Amino acid sequence: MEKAIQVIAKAQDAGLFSSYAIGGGIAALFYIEPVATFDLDIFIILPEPPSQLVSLSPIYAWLTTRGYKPSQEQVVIEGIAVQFIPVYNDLVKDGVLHASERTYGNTPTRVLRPECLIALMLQTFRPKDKERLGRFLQESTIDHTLLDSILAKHKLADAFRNFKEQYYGRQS
Amino acid sequence: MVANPEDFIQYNKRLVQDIFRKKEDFHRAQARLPIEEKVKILVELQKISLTIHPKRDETDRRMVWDIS
Repeated sequence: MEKAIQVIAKAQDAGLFSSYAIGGGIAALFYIEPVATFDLDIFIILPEPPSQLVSLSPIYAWLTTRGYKPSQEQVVIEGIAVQFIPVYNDLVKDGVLHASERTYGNTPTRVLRPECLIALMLQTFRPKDKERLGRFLQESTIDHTLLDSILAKHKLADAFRNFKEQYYGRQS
Repeated sequence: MVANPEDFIQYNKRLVQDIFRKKEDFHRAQARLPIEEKVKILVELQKISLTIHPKRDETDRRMVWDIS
């Protein structure tokens, strides 16, 4: 995975996106017990487009010239299935901008913070998000001040309270 | 050997609590593993998942990562 991260960093250096952060199941992997996932999700902030149309074509073209051929929305980079996902709302954009600086092997990378991942799980709230939320609350180290501010900013405080009441009983 | 039924219930209760506590400790220890170790575990989970739920067709993009 280290080589894949290095290729992603080179894509950023080439100006294909201004910032990135690992999200999804692999971001969760940094904070909780491993669970099965198949994609390395890379949330990216694209340069301001001349039109409102968002296109990943320049990224795919750049990768293709380096031997990494996209198939549907996925591209296998150095043995790792990678998906590039443009930031699609303010919460994800904030998450990328304030991502945690980590290293994988000897390579620096950026990962969405656990507080942002919790907010995203509350936003999408699929069955797997609910299951993962419980794991985050039990296994990860959370900055509750930061979490509260993110939840308030993105109007998710009620959703979090409801989740905790449903799974852990009414909080005093 | 536990003779008294109440003692037996208490013994079982403590045993179950101990099992659950050890399970939680195990999960927390797994969560604290280095990310590189977690990715090795992830690849094993991918293999297991694809064995249990094989690819449906060509559009199913799931693959086991090559981290060699």
